[in-house]
Amino acid sequence: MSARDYAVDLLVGGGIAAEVVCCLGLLAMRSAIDRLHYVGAAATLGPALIAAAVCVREGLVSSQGMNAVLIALLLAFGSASVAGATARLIRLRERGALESTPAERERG
Amino acid sequence: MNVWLIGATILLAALLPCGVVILRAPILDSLVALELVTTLATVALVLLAEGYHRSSYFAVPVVLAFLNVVGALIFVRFLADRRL
Repeated sequence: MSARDYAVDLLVGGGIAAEVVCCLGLLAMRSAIDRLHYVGAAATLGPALIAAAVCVREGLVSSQGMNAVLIALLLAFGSASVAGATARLIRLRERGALESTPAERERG
Repeated sequence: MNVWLIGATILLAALLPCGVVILRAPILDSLVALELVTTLATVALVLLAEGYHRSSYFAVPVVLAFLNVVGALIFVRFLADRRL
């Protein structure tokens, strides 16, 4: 095995580990907002490491490399917008308004 | 069986905890878990495409990554109007 193969294995293993940790975090947390943090992490860290592994194996200027980078970017930016919308929905359901309550303003 | 296919298998197994949350948690927690399921499926498809070394297979996760955003926003839009 060459150094490139070791790097690919390391990147793939890191990406898979990140996704599995996020799954376990989703299972362990109790509130929707806490769970949402793990979804954001799963959509950024894991796909980025997997895309890096594909680029190391195939090269950045290749069909596979470009597609993997595109997917990682779509997941990262798409997940950010979805997480914002979901957090607003959770806040509306739990508190009835997006604005801070007087108690929250007092706490700062 | 290479490292890509092993990784895809692990990710498919990781869908089980998300399924537990979807089935047992309140509706908003289920929505959050559904978003994670789509992300995991997209990454698993990338791993399968690279594991089988077929560049044409990458079209499926590209489309799924785009539909992930659209589908989740539609769920958010409709859940905002309903008291479930």
